[in-house]
Amino acid sequence: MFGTTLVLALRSIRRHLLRSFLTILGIVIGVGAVVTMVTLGKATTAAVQQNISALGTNVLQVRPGQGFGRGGGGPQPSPFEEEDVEAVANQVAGVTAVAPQANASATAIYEGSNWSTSINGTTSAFLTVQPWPLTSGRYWTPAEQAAGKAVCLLGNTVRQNLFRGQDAVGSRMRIGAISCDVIGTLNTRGQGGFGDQDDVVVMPIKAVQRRFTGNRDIRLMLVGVDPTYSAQTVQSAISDVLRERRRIQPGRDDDFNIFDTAQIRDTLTSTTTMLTRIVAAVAAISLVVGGIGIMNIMLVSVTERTREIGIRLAIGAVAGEVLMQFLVEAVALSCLGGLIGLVLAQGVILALVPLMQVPWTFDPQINVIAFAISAVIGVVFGYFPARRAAALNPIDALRHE
Amino acid sequence: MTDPLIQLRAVTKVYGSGATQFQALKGVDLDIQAGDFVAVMGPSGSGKSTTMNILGCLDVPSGGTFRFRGHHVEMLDRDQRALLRRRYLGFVFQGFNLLSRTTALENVELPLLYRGEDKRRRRELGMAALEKVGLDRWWDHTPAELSGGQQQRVAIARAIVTSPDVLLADEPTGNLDSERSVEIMELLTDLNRTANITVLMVTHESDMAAFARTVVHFKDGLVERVETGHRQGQAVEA
Repeated sequence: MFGTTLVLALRSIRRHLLRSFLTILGIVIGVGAVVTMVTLGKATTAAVQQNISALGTNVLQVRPGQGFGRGGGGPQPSPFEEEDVEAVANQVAGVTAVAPQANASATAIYEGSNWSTSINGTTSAFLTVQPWPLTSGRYWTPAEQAAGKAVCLLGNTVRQNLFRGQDAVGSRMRIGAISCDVIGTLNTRGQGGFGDQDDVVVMPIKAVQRRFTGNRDIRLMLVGVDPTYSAQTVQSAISDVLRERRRIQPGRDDDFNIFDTAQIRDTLTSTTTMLTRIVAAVAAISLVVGGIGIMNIMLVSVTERTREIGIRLAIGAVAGEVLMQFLVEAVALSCLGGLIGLVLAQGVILALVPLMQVPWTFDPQINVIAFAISAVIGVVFGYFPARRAAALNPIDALRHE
Repeated sequence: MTDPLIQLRAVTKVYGSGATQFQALKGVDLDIQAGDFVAVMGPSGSGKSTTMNILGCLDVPSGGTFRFRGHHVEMLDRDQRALLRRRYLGFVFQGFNLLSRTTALENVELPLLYRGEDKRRRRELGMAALEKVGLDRWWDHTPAELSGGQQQRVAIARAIVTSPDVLLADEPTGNLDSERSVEIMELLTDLNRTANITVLMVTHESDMAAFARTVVHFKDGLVERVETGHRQGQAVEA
């Protein structure tokens, strides 16, 4: 009996192609919107997590100033000094390493090529805090670091733009006003929400301070935290050490800020997840509207086909078969709409992924769920018109004009 | 004498209730023998359509008994009557009542679909029925592409594709000109003779009734008189 009704339903859909398409348009758009929104939302969340993870896990970032959203007025907070770095490294339990950073930007020149990039001056502790493997060459020695020698490690973007396919290690290139020896090239880290992380030249901090910034200021400390310690405890211990060193009176605000990357990641993740849910809920409303569209057309169709129903009943269809035919027709329509919606969503996702700079993902779960919902909508909204069709009296239905 | 195929006893039919109540049948007794060709005549409101609806198992009597092949149809529920129609009855209507945008063959196959026949068998039986009405070459035409007479023949093919015991025809020639009407009547007469299908036909044209072997006249909700042994019938029995 099911096979029969399926044949009848498909015939009827085929005979009214335009009407069938218009009927399912709401479902197509609803399913397409839900799948697109959820997939892109999850992709955004994943991108955010990836970006934050690129900053290193178990890493605290310590900067002078009061941080996001505050500051602005008031005197410029003083930067950190080398002694602050040592104090945090030595006095705080649970700190594995502290990497100071001094940054500058300059144009690097090698033979005919030049490339404007940023310089990251740091110490070898940087590699302890955020391991960054080499593709070739070596890191600098403690002696080179202490002397502030002009040696550099090239990020992948810089290497590609200056050296093309050539071997960079052992070359001598100009950067800003100085020349420096390329001793190593760094593995690629990829694109992140904070720009191209491979567009960087890493040098010993003393070289950067002496040749570029012209002072001994440290604008950022990256603090590695032993994972067995709570980031919170380490954070407040660092705060205590720095307040004391910077002579901040009790009761006054810190003039520096400490960022826990894990905390940022959690906050951003929960924000994007919530936004995804809200947008998906809005899209789900359009699914329901699509279902009402199907019910509408099916009701019209039952009225329009009253005589047909009469014929079917007269030649021996039982009420259950007529009910099944209209129900199967509604479900077949909404499932068809669901399928088209899924395909449409993939197209929209493929088009939007490069624009939104998020990774392409395929989420089987939401596809299955959205399709299942479209089928359920067919049953729910198809039942009422189908029952009306089945309840028709064959004599009246045959007389219907 | 064998038991009649159809036996109506004191059948009444009442529509509505209270002040608007209308008694369409006031106690109809009627026997129809298997293999007969019966024309039902009478003015509108005489109860002939109501009787046909009851005979077609589309409606149930308010009182009295209706036995078909010995079954008490008045005791059956809606779905049981649908199964009875599917198994034993074929319908031909005045307005043809074919499914639009549907080929002649698909229309003819429709009752077989409800019988659960497979595709090959549906095609086989459908084409055979179309051949009987002389339309096998038109199998892929939709009703809009067929003339009135052709449409009615497709409808007859649909009615006989299941080899029914009884063919019920409600004014089958009402929408046709006299030449097509005679063709349709000849087709029904032929089916009655060769396929041994009992034909019950409502008509108000005595020209058409003349093709029948038995003519039942209705008046005011009762059978007024029954003429048997018509010219056509005598020819068959000869």
